[in-house]
Amino acid sequence: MKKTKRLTGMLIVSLILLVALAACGGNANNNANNGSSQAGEAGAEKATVTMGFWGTAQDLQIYQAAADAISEQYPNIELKIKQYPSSDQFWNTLPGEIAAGVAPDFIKISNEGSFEYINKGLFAPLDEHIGPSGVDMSRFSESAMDIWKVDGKQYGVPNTAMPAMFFINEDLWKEAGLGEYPKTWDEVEAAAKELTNKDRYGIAINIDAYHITNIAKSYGGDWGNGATINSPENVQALQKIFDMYEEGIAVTPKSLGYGWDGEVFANGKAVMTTGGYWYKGYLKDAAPDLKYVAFPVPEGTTAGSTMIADGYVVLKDAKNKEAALQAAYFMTNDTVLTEFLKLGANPAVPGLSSQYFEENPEFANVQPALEYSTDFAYPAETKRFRDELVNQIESVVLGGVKKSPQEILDGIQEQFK
Amino acid sequence: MAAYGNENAEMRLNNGKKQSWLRSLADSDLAVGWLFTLPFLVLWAWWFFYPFLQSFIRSFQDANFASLGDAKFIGLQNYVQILNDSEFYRAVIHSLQIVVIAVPLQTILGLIMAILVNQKLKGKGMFRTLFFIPYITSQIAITTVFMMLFKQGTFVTEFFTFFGFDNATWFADTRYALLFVAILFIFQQAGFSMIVYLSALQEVPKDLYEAGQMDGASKWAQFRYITVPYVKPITFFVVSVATILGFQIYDQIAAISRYGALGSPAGATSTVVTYFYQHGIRYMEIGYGSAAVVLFFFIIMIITFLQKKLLDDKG
Repeated sequence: MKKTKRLTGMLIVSLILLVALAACGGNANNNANNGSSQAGEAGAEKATVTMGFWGTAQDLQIYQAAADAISEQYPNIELKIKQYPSSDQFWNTLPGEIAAGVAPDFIKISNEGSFEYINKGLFAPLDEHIGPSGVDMSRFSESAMDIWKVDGKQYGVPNTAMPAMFFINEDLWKEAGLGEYPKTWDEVEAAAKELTNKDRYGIAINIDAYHITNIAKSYGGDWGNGATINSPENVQALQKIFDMYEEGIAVTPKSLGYGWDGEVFANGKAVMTTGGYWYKGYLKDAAPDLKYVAFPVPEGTTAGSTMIADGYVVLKDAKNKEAALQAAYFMTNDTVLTEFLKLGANPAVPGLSSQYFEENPEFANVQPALEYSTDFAYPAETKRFRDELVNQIESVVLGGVKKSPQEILDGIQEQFK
Repeated sequence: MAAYGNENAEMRLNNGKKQSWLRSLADSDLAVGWLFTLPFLVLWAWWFFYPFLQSFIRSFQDANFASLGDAKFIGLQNYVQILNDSEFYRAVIHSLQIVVIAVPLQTILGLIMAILVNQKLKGKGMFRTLFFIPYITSQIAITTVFMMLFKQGTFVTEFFTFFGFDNATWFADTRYALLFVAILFIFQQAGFSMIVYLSALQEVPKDLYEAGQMDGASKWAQFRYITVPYVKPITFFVVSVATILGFQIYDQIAAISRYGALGSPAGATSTVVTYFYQHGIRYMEIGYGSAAVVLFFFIIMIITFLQKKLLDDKG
């Protein structure tokens, strides 16, 4: 009896082992079948294309509706949408997915992080696929196309493009009895002194590359893809930031326990902040009663700010690049772009862009910035650069390290020669 | 008919041989032992050993996630570069600081809690549950709650001003951010230590305490000379597990750095794990990151070995 039990036990263990191994094998096969099918080449068979993005639930709704409708224009394509929980998850998961061959076929990304990936060859140049896939790239504005061009090659289908903005809490501004809204950083600094009290700060300056870059550009600075990190203009911009912190009129969200500048602004803990078009959607939910005004980024020595754009890029390992490009192009149709326009994003299609400021009158003041806003021009090792910039500035602002803007930027320049 | 009968006899003989082979296998303790261990071994080899081997091989390569096919053998270059990187030493020191602060405290706290909930108290079941809940709660959820509690101006940061701390947002202050991480670790890990100690305490024979009482031993003497030696093997287990987990702490730091660079503020919470993640995953330098992981593996191995030696010697 005891032996029979033992034998049965052995057989059960063997069976479990067999099932476990079979499951591993099955999984590998499933993975291998992931991604786009070769249906495009086969003709009648449907090509399954996967799109990856990170964004809000509203974005997902728009994309899902578009995916359901794609067969009207491209009957041979079945589009699947994959949403990532956050931008961090998206950027950190993607390399592993690419290495494992399970990445989406095309993704929506912003121009803030795209250059590094293009430079590392993770995205496919689209030029050779544009003709055969029959997409009409001439419907996008030239400036929007240029954002996705590297070394003369087109890497992205433009989706939206909008300059950075400067937000002011209208009620708190009026309550403080201040007159005209500031147009320069000196005026911002003077106003911030008036606005700061025990309950709030004059301005929130998030120690984040996006916000720092905007201030640098307003002083005529730029990172020059790594060539001009310690330029006098950038040093001057950083000095202004440090001055405002030293005077106690600026605050970084983290110091107050908030995640980002929008939260500080929505909670009335800062009267002014640099930001972007996404504030509209966020404030609508987070602080529906908050009255705000939006302006271009104030001038330091010149008018300058970043143009934040998003677009669709096809990954280098997408099995059916033409189908992926067609699906990406479909995501820029008038219906989809109009939906995003209502959420505050400015379409990269001139015909629709003209309606943007009618639909979003709160951003009308920002229109002139469309003319002069430019790409981020981060170094090719973008993530490393952004981390280093943030760490160095945090060490001064949050860590009390005594370093001048010149020393900080010289140190970073040394690493990104 | 006769031939048919012979066939049956042969089949019975063969079945008998098969059965005896299986039975002799079932009789062998060694074979049964291996077979029952085999599922674990296979999965361990698949999920742990193989990836580690891959990491070890990659650590000698100039390998990038973006182009794994182009990986080149570069000998010890990654190791040399890491050992020349001041950020790595900073990360190692931070990891050691977390372990040195958090491991002894969570061990002592776990033992104290276990002793308390081992008494004949009213509602001890509730206390056991309460103390254990943090261990099974999501680390991100606990970190988020603690981040709200340790914000500038809250009663918690106000309370700590009595001990000489500034009323600041702890996780945004380079002076306190690492301590904040250590507190999070202690809060979560102590519950696990408590449960392990509790099971050990219930195994201590009651007559030892009775004998001690008869000999006039104080409560402290009973604890020092009966309880502590008796739970020593458990202490080694608790300390080893906490040390390894302390070195591996990541989620809490990722939550703190949610909107900034990993290891924020200004690298004050960077550890060996965040150093690996930063290089291996975020910057896609999987060869360099793997070398950091291999070094990390040996650091943990040496420390665990030293711990064992230390506890053995003391015993």
